[in-house]
Amino acid sequence: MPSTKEGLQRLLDFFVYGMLRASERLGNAPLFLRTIEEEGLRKFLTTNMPQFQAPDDPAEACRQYMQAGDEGGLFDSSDSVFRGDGDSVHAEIGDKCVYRRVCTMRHDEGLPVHCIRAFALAEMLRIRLDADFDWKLERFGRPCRITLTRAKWK
Amino acid sequence: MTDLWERIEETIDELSHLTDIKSAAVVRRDGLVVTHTLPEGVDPKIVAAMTAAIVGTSEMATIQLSQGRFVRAIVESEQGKLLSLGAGEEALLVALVYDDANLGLVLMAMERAAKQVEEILRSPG
Repeated sequence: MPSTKEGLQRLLDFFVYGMLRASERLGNAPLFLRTIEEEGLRKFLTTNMPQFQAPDDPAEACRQYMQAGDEGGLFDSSDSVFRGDGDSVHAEIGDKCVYRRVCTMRHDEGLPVHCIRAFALAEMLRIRLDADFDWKLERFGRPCRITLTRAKWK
Repeated sequence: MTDLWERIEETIDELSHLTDIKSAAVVRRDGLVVTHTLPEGVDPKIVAAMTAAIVGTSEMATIQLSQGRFVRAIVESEQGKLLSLGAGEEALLVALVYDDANLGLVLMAMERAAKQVEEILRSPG
């Protein structure tokens, strides 16, 4: 284990940054990042968040997912807000997002920001609610704004 | 199921009835299945992800080699061919065809079907 919290964050930055660059170089970042999230969630959702039971409402499911992650010590969800109806979720993710440093790095390098949190939320909704949601990073900033919309073809 | 989905399914059904085509599918560029006529025993999720990967890497190779716009990917095997091409910004069309298929006819039918899928997806849901 890294000996400090900063060391752990730097290790995470290293792998997330590498993963994003590799996904782009291989030609299809959305495919690779979605697959990484899907495989990771299928393996770890029950072990990392054993209490998490997604309700039918997607915004509430996102809120409870973040809360479960928070309780499991994975991330701080205190500055994340979710609103929406049955067909869309509007999320605001604040400064405490663990991926923010990498996103900022990429933003400063002029590279597209692939929101790992949005990929995770969309995959969680697909796995737990059997519903396809497309996501869009409406704004990268403080806070980041994401919209998840129920896919039109299912 | 939505009206959009049904219209895409009709297009794929029609394409699959072509003599030279074994089966066909529409998949999203991020590797999710929209609809398919793949035979039993074939996992459509894997085919969708593989197709998206093949097209993604082929497009990247085309760019890196300065070969202009990517048109289609053809994977030739002993017992058939896998053809995949874009169907608008969001989707891909994939067909599994017989080894001795008339490629010209198949590609014409696929291009027509891809255009239909693109138009369906562009129409308001």
